Amino acid sequence: MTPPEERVKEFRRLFAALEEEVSRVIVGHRNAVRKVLTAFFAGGHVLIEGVPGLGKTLMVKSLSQALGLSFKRIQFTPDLMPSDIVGTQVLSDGAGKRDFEFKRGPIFANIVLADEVNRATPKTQSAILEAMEEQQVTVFGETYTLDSPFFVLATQNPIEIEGTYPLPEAQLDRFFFKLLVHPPNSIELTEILARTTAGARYQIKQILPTDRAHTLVEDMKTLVREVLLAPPLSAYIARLIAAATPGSDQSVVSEVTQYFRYGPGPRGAQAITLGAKVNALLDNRVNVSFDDITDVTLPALRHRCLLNFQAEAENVTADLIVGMILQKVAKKY
Amino acid sequence: MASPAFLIEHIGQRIVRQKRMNVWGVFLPLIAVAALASRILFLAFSLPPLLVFSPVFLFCGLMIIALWRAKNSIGRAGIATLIDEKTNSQERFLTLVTVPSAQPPSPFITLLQRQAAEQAIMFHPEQAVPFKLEKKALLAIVGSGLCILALLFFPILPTVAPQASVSQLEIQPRDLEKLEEFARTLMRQGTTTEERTTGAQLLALTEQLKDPALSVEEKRHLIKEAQQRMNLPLPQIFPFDLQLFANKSKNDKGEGNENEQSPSEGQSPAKSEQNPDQLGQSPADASGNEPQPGSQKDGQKKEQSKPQESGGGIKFNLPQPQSGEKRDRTDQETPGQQQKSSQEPSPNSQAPGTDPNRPGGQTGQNQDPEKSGQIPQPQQTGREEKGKGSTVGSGKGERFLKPGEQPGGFLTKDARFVKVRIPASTDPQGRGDTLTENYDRAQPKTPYSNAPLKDAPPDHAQLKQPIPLEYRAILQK
Repeated sequence: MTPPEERVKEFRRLFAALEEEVSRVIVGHRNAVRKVLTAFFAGGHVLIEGVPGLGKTLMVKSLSQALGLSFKRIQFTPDLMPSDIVGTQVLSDGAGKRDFEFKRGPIFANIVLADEVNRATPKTQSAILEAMEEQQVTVFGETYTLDSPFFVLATQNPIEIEGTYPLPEAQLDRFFFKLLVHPPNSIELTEILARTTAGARYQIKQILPTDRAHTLVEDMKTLVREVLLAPPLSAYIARLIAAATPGSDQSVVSEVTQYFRYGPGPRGAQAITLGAKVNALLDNRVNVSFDDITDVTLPALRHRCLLNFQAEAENVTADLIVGMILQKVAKKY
Repeated sequence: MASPAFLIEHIGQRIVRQKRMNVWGVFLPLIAVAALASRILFLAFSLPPLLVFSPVFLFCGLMIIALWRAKNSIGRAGIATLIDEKTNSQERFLTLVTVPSAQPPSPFITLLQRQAAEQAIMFHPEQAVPFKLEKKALLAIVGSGLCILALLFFPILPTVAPQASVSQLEIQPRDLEKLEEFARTLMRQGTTTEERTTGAQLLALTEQLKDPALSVEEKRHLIKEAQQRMNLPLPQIFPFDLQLFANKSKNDKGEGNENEQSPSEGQSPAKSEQNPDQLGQSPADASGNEPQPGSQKDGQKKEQSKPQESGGGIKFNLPQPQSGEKRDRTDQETPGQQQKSSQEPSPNSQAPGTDPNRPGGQTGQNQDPEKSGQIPQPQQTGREEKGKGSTVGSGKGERFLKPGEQPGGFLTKDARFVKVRIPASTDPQGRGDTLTENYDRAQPKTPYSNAPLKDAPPDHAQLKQPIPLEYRAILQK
């Protein structure tokens, strides 16, 4: 068995190589790239929110190419049907007899890009619910298991309200992280122009070998779960979740009760823990620290804290409240 | 490379030692202050030792509890957190301390121990946990030092310490000579009867103190008895502050019956509020005779001598009941006793030889001094004659003096108050001695005023406005 040190070292090397390779295409957004990779190796899905033209789709495509995994893209539109995602039974003519054959949809891939996911109807959006959580789909009463690793990366546009269908809370909770992609600054924009308007475009190299990609990814995911988490730190995560829940007796921020309609659930705590473990490995540690938890709390909780009407009216964001919670909850052992 | 477990153990012991040092630093000065204060109180007031020294025991108990808590307050997780903070170990030590007990052994534990050991090299216990006193300990030490200095040099000590040390003092012959000389000064011509009496008593006391057969305790007892008779604070009698008597004597001689002695001159405030019991025991008789219990004249003399001692107060009192009995302002006496205290006493109530109208007003000339329980006074006869002479020579005999009047006249100069007792005959209930001013009487809820009361609902029970004082007499007619 490979010693832990070697496993940690290999994890860090691959992670850094992937991050570096994606960063060759995506200018800026290093934090977003790292968080996407963190969610990938933690076994979660990512919802990216940002205005059009910021390279969200390019980032996901680059990642899939670097990982050497199968990649499918689904452009969500209002007339998109669930069968367009999961697949459907088609009548086939083979071997002298007619039979229904399951035609797999684009969900059957290692990395799925659900572009502008909020444009589809809730019926279609819910088609990927089972796939995201259970890593399987059921069509005409028959269940099909998705390939592993399975990673959904959805994007949504925050500025378009007309003709969009906000994701239901149940679906939001299934995303590991919600990342906000901000517009590039002038320096980054200059770099983008230099890379995209000159000569040949950079071709992403495949970091993971094709024959071992699945195994390596699964090993890395296993390693993440073996990272040690001290009981005082898990208690701290629990206090964070309790503090973000309105009406909780451990609430230390009054604004939680004032502006939150619902707080994060156990999936939020799981996301914080696994994200912190990835951070620990990246820092060449086999134990989680308070800093690891703090780093992933915001992307893990911001979409799980549902704001009420008063918060919308007063332009209060979940990030603001979660930041206050991080400051108020004591890091005691 | 230090083992993380060893480092945690070592730091734990160091923290406990450091905490204990601070506990000692906080409590020892407090215990010292409490012990010193308790000792002073114990010597000054002779209170039960258990009560006086209870703060010391309390602080000792608190210190023991604090020491015990210092041992148990810091856990391994706390120490690990401290090391993590000091070495920026990112909770490696905390995980190392808490995870093995919480989870099954993991292959990552070995790696974590190695990483923690690398971090432990950067940890210096002397810098992280220095042996230094906390601010509260420093404050306790400084505060206690100031308290000890204050206790040693506080004004309470001159009053307390001499009393404590008097019992240890030997009476010096020089002091006795001073006392005797002072007594003779009091008894010479031109002094008042009270001074002569005091002088006689001091002289008798001096003679007794010269007896070498008496022990220090016996002499001390005699001094205390004399002090009680003369109602003077002990330090003023012997062997201290004899100068005060001399000053007082000069003042009395220079100002006649005026008494302007202030508390700063060594007169204790309690002296002006003399207890009638003590007055009854004091030999205030001008003739130097022993006071006679139950003597009417004795009561008059007491009341006359009172203003002199109270520094300006004049009290016109009715003849008091028997001087041997306790008299309180609010006591309840039997009608027979009230009759004795009336201004015109019946001859039956007078002891033989105590009639104030009798020339000289001398009492108890034929009485055995030992019967009254007083100290025998060897120069009594001579002083009686001198006292008579001086009284006659002052112009107006004492027998003609009115109640409250001294040979020099009524003591009205610099009087600050006049206390008038209503004669028993004017008391509607015939209880003259019990008729006193009630300062705690109930005050009317509605102020006296001519202003109309505020409007109130018809059903509301309105307070009845009392009649103003100035209209009461008219309306009652």
